Amino acid sequence: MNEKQTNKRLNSDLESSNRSNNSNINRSDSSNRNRTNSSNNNTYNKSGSRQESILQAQNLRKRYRGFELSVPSLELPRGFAAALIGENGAGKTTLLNLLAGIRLDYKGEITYFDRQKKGIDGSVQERIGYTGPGSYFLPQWTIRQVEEISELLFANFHRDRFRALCDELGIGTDSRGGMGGFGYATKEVKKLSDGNRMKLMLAAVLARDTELLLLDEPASPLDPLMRDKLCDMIREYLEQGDGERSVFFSTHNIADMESVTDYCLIMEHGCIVEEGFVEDLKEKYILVKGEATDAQRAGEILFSMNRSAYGFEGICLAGNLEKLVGMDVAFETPSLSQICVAVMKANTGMKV
Amino acid sequence: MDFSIGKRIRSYIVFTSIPYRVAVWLVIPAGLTALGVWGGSRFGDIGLLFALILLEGAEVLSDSWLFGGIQAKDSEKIDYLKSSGRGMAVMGSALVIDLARKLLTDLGVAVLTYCLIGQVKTGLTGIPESVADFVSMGNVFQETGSLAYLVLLFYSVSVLGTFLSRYGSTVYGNMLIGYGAMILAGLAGIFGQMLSGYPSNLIFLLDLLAAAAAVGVSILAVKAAMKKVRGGYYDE
Repeated sequence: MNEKQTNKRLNSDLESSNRSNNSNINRSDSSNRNRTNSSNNNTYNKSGSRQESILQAQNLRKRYRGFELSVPSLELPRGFAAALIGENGAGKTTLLNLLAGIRLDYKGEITYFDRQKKGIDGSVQERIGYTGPGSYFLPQWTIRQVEEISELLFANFHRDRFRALCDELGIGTDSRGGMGGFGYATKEVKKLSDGNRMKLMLAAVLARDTELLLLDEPASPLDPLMRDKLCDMIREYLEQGDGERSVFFSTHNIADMESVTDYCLIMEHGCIVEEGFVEDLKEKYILVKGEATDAQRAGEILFSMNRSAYGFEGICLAGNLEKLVGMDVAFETPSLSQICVAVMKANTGMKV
Repeated sequence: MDFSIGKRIRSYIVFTSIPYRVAVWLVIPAGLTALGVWGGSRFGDIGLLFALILLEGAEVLSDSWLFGGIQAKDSEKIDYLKSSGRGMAVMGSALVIDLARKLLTDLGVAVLTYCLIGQVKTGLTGIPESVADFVSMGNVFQETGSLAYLVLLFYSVSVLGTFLSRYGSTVYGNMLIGYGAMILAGLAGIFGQMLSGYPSNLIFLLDLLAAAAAVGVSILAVKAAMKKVRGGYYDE
């Protein structure tokens, strides 16, 4: 089977799997989630009046020159951390910008929380914490100014919590750990490293009482230690929300963020090509390892494959496992990173 | 969003850093007033003009600390402001209050310098020394009209310079615009008085023109900055 045929078949498999997977979104009680407190069960009780999702979008479209974001339907599960994964230029930042209300020129409808009214306004933004790359704060602002401006911008901003977070993350505090003097708090945003700038953004949003965090590439500028800390912070944020808080973040650092990812959306070319709870995805995709002698036959069945002189390793859709009968292969549960790379490879425009 | 005057002022204050506050609210006005008084006591009201010219240059330059490059093509999008429902109100208030602060600073420096020059010149003897004056002539209304013309003129040119400088993001660009504004305002300050055939009531006509210019450039400066910031929501 040539490459084109393989892709065609895999895409059709993927579509049917997507359909089945979408139904999985609504059966969260069937899988073993990280957080299974009573609130989460309530959240997913269909007989109740509570919305299962914290955010719903319909027919989202946004066009740039040479790029189109097209998301027919999007639902973010309430009470969980959802990761948005995709290549550079896949449309992750655009999607997050639309959801955060910092881009308003798009077609489609977004419904936030339990509101009947569609679209975003000040009261919705008050409940959302957004961090983004690039020009987020004015570069000449000092950390103290960020604190003062945050108090003015958001009624639910807590100065004490902001200072405690700055202290905890090692930014904005002087040698005595306070921001009262002319110490580090007077440092300008433009003089902070990328990592410290991201920490400052996180401190600013976590110092507020929000129900949804939209974080655009929060892990990218952070060192491994801080990425681990970021996962802890996201986990703590969700736990404190008692099933009412959600986090939606984009990332390229899938392996580092996997421990905190409950739900995953994979984007390519402005479209969501795969989504589902991580546990469900790990049932849908299986890691297959085998001998080099079986590589060619397996290559026609596997979703994606890496070969070496000694053997092969690839991702297989669970529904296709019986096709591997007769081969000397071993099955393993793949990591989220392996699943994402496989899906991205199947959908990318790049020659990989 | 309905913002109280207190919140509007706070919106401006939060945009200013402590070094900015010390420099622009205190050191520059005080220093230039002292310089104007010193110059005025030796060379007459030209000292006042000199202080206002320097103040104008300082205003254009110091704006880079506050809203520097905000209208530039590659300007900062300030997503943090846009992530709040109050962001645009805070930004708009900060821009307007900054203009009010500029006008008050011009007024304060001009009136204080003018009064102090008079005090110094009169000296202990109570008899004014003979120096070349062109403001402190005529009756009290004409003197006020002349002073108002200078304040409004320098405010207008300073806001115009600030408006232009926000399209660039380099200090050198701001300096160039600052120098241009200083020369323009200095010439208009001197020749405006001369053209009115001072002392005469024609100065009030100049006051009206300067007031109209002040209102016009103020609206232009705020609208242009807000258009750029709001444009960040769209493909502009």
